[in-house]
Amino acid sequence: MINRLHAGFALRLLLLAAAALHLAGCGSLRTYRQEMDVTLRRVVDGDVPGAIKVLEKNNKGGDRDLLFHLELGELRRLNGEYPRSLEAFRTADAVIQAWEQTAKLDPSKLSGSVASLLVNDKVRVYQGIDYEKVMVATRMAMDYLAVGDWDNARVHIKRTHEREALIAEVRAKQYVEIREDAERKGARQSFKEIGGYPVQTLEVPEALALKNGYQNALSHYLAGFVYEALGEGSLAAPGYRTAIELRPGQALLEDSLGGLDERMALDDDGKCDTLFVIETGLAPARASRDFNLPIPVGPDGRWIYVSASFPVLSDRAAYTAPAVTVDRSLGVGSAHVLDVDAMARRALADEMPGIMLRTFARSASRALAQYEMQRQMEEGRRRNRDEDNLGMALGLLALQIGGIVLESADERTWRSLPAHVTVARGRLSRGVHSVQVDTSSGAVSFDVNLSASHAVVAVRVAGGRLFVAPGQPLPPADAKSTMIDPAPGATAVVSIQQLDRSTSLASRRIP
Amino acid sequence: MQANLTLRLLSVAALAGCIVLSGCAKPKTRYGDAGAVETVTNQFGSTDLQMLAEQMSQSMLSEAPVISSGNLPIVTIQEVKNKTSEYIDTRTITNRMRATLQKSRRVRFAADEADMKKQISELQRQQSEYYKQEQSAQIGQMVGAGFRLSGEISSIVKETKDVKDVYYQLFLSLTNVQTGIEEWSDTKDIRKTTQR
Amino acid sequence: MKPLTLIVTLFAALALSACGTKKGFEKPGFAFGCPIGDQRISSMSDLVKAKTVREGGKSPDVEVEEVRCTTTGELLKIDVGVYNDESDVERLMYKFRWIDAEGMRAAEEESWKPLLMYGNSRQIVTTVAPNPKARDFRFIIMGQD
Repeated sequence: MINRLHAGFALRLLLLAAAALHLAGCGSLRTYRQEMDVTLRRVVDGDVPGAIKVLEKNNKGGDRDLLFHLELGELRRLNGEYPRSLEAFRTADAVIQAWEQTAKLDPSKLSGSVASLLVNDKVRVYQGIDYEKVMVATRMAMDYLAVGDWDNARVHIKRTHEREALIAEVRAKQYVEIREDAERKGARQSFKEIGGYPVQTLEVPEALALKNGYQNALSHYLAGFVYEALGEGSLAAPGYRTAIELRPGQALLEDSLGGLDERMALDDDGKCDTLFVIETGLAPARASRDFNLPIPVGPDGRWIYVSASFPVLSDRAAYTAPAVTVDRSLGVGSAHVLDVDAMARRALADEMPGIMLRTFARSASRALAQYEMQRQMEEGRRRNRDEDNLGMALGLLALQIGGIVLESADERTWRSLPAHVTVARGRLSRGVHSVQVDTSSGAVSFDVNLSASHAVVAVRVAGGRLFVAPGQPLPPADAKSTMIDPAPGATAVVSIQQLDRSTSLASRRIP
Repeated sequence: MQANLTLRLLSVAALAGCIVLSGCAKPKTRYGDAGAVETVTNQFGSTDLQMLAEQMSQSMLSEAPVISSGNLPIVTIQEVKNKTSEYIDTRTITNRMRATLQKSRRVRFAADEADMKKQISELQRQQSEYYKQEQSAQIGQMVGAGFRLSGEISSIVKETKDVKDVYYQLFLSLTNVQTGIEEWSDTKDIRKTTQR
Repeated sequence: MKPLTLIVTLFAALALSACGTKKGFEKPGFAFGCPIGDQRISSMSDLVKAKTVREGGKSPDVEVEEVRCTTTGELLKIDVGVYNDESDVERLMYKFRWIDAEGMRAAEEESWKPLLMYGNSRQIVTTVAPNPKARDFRFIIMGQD
C-alpha cells in the first residue's frame, strides 16, 4: 500500500519534471545569448547579410516574437535596407502598441505576476525592456529620416515621447507595487543580498547617475532637431530641454536649446544644419548565472539549498566619445546622448526585485518538493524499502534536472543596439564634405553631400567597421553592401536625404 | 502531497498565463465628449488646452481696448514659446484662440510666419501663364498686421513618491507692431495634483 | 465744499444707492443687467433659477447665489457667484451655453471647466460672450466624478 503510494508519488514527480520541461519548451533549451553572440560576430566581421540569415535560421515561424523583429530591424538597418528595416520594426511596434493599450486600460495586468510566479521568465512572452520600447520608435524615426521622409519621422518622434510618458506613468505605480509586493511576501529586495552576485556590474556610476532606466537623451535630442527642422519651435524646445535634464553639462545640448530661437528666425544662409549621429559598440548581453539560495522549509525549519539563476551583465568597458572632424580641420561640437550600456544595467537593477520575487517563489515550491522527497526517502530508509528509494531517487533527479532547465535566467535583450551614441552638430556649407570620425576602435571616414537646410547623418561603427546611414545610393561598386572598409583613405560618398526648409522669405525673389 | 499541489499550481499558473497573454477583457472603444474634463494623466491635456484658450480669448475680447473698441484690428500670431519640459504644441492653443476670436468678429488675422510660405507659393502660382491675369491675386497687396500676439507657457513640476503636482502658466501679450506698445497681456494658470 | 466735490459726492451717493435697489435702473427685459426676455423675474433667486441648469446624474452640492450681467462693447459680460455651504471640498465643472436673440445657439458648445470649491467658500465665475450675437446664456454645472 505504502509502496504503491510512494511509486505514485515518484511518478507524479516525474510528471512534474516533464511538465516543467514541456513548459519551458524549446525556448529555454536555447540560450539567447549564445545565439546572438554568433549572429553579432558576423556583423562585427562585416557580414550583415550573413548575420540576418543566422538570425532568421534561429527563429523559425512561431519563434518570431518581438525580440526577433527588433534584432531583424536593426540588422537590416545596418545593411542599409531601410524600408525592410521599417517593416520589421513595424511588427515589433505593433506588439508594443498592444502593451501600451493594456497599460492604458489596466496597468495592474502588467504586473499581474500571479500567472508568472511559477513559470520561468524565459517562458514569458517577451515584452521588451522599457528603453527598448522607446528605442523602437526612435529607430523607426531614424529609418524614415534615412529615406528622407521627415513627416513620417515626425510621427514616430511623437510616438517616442508619448510612449515614454506612458512608461513613466505606469512605472511610477509599478515600482511601488513591486516593492510592496516583495515586502509582503518576505522576499529579499536587493540583488546585493544574493550571495556572490556581481553587484559592481549593475552599480556603475553611469547607471546610478541615470534619472531612470527608460528615458534617453538621444530620442529627445532627435525630437528637438526634427521639430526644429520642421519649424515647430514649441515642440523642439522641450526636446532639447529634456536632453539636457537627462545628460547635463554638455555644451552642445545647452547651445542647441539656447540658440533655438535664433536659429528659427534665421534666414537661409546657404548652410546646412547637420546632425551626425555616431553609434558605437553593441548593447551588453545578459548571461544566466547560477546561485545557491537557502530556503527554509518544513516544520523542522530545515534549510534547503536550491540553485537559482539570475541574469548578470559583464563588466562595463570605458567609453571615449568619438571626435568628428569635417574637411580635416573643422572640429564639430559633440555630446554623448545615449548610453545603452548604462541603461541596460539600470534596467536590470530595476527589474531585479521582480525577477527575485518570481525566482524565490519558484525556488520555494521546488524546495518544498525536494524537502518532501528527502523526508520520504529517509522514511523509506527507515523501513528498509529499497524499491521505494530507487523511485524516490529517480524522482529527485528528475526534479533537479527539471529545475536546472527551468532555472536558467532570462537572457533576452535587444543586443544589436549600439552601446553608445554621441551626436555632433554643425552648420556646414552645402556641398561635399569629408567627415572623419575617431573612435576608440579606430578612425573611419566618409563623404557627405549636403544640399538642404537640415540633414541627419547616422553612422555606426562596430568592430572597427563603418556602417553609414543612409546607405543608398552608394557608388555602384558598393551597391550590394553599405559597408566600407575602415582602412584610412577609403571613403564613400553618401547622399543624404535632407529637409529643405525655406525659412528665408527675404531671399526669395518674386518675379 | 506537495508535488500534487505544485503540479496543480503549475497548471493553474500556465492557464492563467494563457489567459493573460490572450487577454480576456476586450478593450472597448466609444466616442466621448470632446469638451469633457480629462484627468487621465498629469500631463498637459485637452482640458488644459481648451481652458487656457477659452479663458485667454475671453480676456482678450473683454480687456484689450483695441479689440473691444470694435475697429477690427489685424493681428498676427507669433510663436508661443514652450518653456516646459513637456511636448506641448502651443499652436494648438493659439489655433483654438484664433478660431474663437475670429468668430467673435472683432479681430482679423494676417498670415503668420508659419503660413507665409503657403501664402507666397499660392501668390506665385497665380502669376503663372496658366491663370487669367486680371482675376489673379496680385503681388504686393498683402496687408500687414497692426498687432502681434506672442507669449510663453511655463510649468513648475514637483514630485514625490506619492504625489505629483504640476502648475502651468500661460502668458500672452498683444503688442502694437508700429509703436511697440503692449496693448494687452494676461496670465492664466492651472494646477493639477495626482495622488498615486 | 467746492461745487465739483459736491457733484462727485452726489454722483457717488447715487451710484451707491443704485446698487441697493434693483429695478430702478433696469431696462425692460433685463434683471440685474441680464437679459430675461418676457420672463417675470422679481428677485435674484428667480434670476438664478432661470439661468442655471444642472446637468448630469450627480448634482454638485453648491449653491448658485447670484448672477449679474453687464455689457462691454457689444459683448455680454457675466459674473456668477457660487457658494459651497458644506464644509467638504466640492469639485464641479461648469460651462456657459450661449443663445442668440431668436433663441438659437449663438456659439459652439464650450468645453467643461473644472472648478475646485473649498468648504464654506465663495467663488465668482466670470465670462464674456464669445460674440455679439450671444444675447442670452445658461450657466451649466455638473458634479465631477
